[in-house]
Amino acid sequence: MTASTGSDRDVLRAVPRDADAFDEVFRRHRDRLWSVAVRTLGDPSDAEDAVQETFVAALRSCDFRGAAEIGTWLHRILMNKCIDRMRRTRPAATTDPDLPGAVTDPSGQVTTRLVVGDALAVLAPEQRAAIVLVDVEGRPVAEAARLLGVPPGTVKSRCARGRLRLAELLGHLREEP
Amino acid sequence: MSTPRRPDVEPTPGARTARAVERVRAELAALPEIPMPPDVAERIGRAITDAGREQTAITRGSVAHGPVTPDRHFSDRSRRHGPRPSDGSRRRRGSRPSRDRLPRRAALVCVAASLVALVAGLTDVRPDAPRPVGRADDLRSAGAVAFGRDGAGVLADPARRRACLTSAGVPEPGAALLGGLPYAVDGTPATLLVLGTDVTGRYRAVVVDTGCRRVLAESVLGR
Repeated sequence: MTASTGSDRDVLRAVPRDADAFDEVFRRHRDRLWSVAVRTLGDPSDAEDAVQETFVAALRSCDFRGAAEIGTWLHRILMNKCIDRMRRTRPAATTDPDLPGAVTDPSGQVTTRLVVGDALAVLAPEQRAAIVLVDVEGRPVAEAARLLGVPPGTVKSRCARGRLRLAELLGHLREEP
Repeated sequence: MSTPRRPDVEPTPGARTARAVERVRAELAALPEIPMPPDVAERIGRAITDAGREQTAITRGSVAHGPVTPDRHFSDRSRRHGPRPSDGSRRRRGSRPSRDRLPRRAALVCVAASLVALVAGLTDVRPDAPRPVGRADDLRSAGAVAFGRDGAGVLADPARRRACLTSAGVPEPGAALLGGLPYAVDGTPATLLVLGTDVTGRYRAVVVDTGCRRVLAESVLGR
């Protein structure tokens, strides 16, 4: 069985012997991780850095023990990279996104109707990360909480506020479905 | 039978909000996967390939033994072609050899270095070369091993190598690359580069840390 035809685990086992084996892991998971990174960070350059750091860190850490799916393992690394990046780039004046009204509501400044993908970029980073994991990726709240390193209740509240904000931005509160 | 018409009543604010939120969730769930652009995939793939090759080289040289150093290479060779250590033990990562093994290790290093130097055309690995920064004998032997090898990783690229060597303060950063290997100096991961000089038969072995911040060791090979 070659690395290109084996399971993710077979491929990972081949990495210490085969310098190119990890390329197959990259090929299999790159689009999914790219989607998450772009939507979470809202900037392709940041997303590229985060995804590259994720794969290189995964390659070097070699701490995958088969306890989780490899996709989940990579997602966990990616979310840590994204969160680190969001913390570094977050403006100093930004307040706790979990507090109601803490994030500036830009809806009054938005004159063109947004589509949902674009509206995501307007959310506070922490809300965006929670929404991407739970509503876009379809991950359970508990798993999202583990990935983000926050309690499940925090994920729920971030999602709830993020959805409401999106509904406002998208004009869904003003029109009939 | 026709469906009874729902009474035309204005939804409550709460119901309107709930419907709007559900609509948002449906739209979010329907978002398609975004394919990684080809140029991004190429850049990241290249970085992974480079990192993978370095990782493989390090793993091969350090499985249960520690980071790659010329000592490790020769130790591995002696393990493959000769007897295991008499006590059956394996050295822990980063530990130094015991003194009673040093003569044997030094002999192995010398024999292996001579063989490699002979193959590489380096017939004169002088012990009285200019004083190096790091472990001189190790580095000269490693330089001989690295000669002709393509383990320089990202530093195989001339522009990146020049920038890295300039950043690390290496003179003549544009010198030709004659070989390279992942390397470690006292546990610090680095890259060993064999560079040409303007003297025929003389080469420089330079070890730069992975961040290109400084030279960890250097030596001169050949004449």
